[in-house]
Amino acid sequence: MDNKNTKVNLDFANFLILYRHYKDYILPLVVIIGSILIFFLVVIPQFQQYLGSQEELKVETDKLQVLKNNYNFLVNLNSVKISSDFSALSYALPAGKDFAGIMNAISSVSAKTGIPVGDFNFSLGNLSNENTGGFSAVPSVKIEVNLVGSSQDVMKFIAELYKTAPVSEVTSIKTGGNMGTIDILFYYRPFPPQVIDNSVPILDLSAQETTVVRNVSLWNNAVDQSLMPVIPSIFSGSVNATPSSSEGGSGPF
Amino acid sequence: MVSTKVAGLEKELERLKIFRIAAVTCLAIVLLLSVLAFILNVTLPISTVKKEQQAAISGISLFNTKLTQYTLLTDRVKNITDIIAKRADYGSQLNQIFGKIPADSSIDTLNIEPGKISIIISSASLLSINNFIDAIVDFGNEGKILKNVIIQGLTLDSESGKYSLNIQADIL
Repeated sequence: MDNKNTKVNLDFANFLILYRHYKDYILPLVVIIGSILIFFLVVIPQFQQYLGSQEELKVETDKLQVLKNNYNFLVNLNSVKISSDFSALSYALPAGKDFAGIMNAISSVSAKTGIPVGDFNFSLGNLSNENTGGFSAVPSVKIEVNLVGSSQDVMKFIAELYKTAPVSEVTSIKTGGNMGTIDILFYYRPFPPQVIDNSVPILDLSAQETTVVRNVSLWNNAVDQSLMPVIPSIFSGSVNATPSSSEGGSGPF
Repeated sequence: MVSTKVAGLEKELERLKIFRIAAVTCLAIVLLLSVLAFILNVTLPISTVKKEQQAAISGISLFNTKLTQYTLLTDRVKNITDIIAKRADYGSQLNQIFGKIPADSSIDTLNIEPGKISIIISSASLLSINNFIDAIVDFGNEGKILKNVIIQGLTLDSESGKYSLNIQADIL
């Protein structure tokens, strides 16, 4: 037991000797270790935060640039032209089943080509891709029209129809003798829900789209449909309609 | 003996001096870097950019109606462009086929279903019928307007003295 106590006392004495000998080194050593710890625990994270903030700043600056571009784009947008183009395009591709527009188109083409229209038959579906032969994403109204004329006359009618609003597609042609029957799909599409995301850049129309807008604006019926009254006497048809619950005939605003 | 001790002591003091200089240098460097990092972080203009964003968003909100109209307009344009690009337009093909029909021949029947065409033409001249067949076969061989051309039948109506040619093909 005594031996043990003696050993402890010796170790403590040694420690005191070492302390006295190296005490001047303790403060600099603590400062160096402290500096290293501060460097790793504070300085490096601060620089990392700086780099992260720089990334964030770049993202935010890009976002700001998009917002400024969008703002400038909207400021320079010609409201009158947009309204007239929108009006023409909305008539070319209506938001809902536009029977008046369809009848106007047929009567207008008939009058323009001099090809009389006989019976017709509407076949309506819902907003899904029921009327095959067209584009599944764009619903359509199918109409079967009887025409009085030769094959060439029928082709003339179709060529004129393709320059007439609403936009249509002929899916079937049957001619024989002096009569012809064509199946036409008149397309429509409800307005999409408006979710305005300011961070998305507003792009100008492409050259192809601008050409389409210009051409569609020149289509028959595209400017002022009220000038083209429906001529009921031309038609003697029937309508087989399946009302659609999600028909988008209402305005967008 | 004393000089050795003095030399050792001087060496010790020299080592201590170096150690102290190293400590002060470390402290100074860390201090400098900390201040630098702080200043860099503080001077980043994120808040200014965000304020400008808010101002721009407020400006854009004044044009909400215009923006909505333009968004809907682009939606119409895209859909119409898509429809026009993809819709079947038999006009150019049929005009070329009609152009090959001899003057003394006429189209009795023309049927077009998606991708298929069927034509019956009649003529009093077998030579004209033959010319039309040649033209149609050429179209089939070129593969530009028609393909898989099949002659369904060639008949003679003895009462009218007219030949009828029935052709079916895939229209491109």
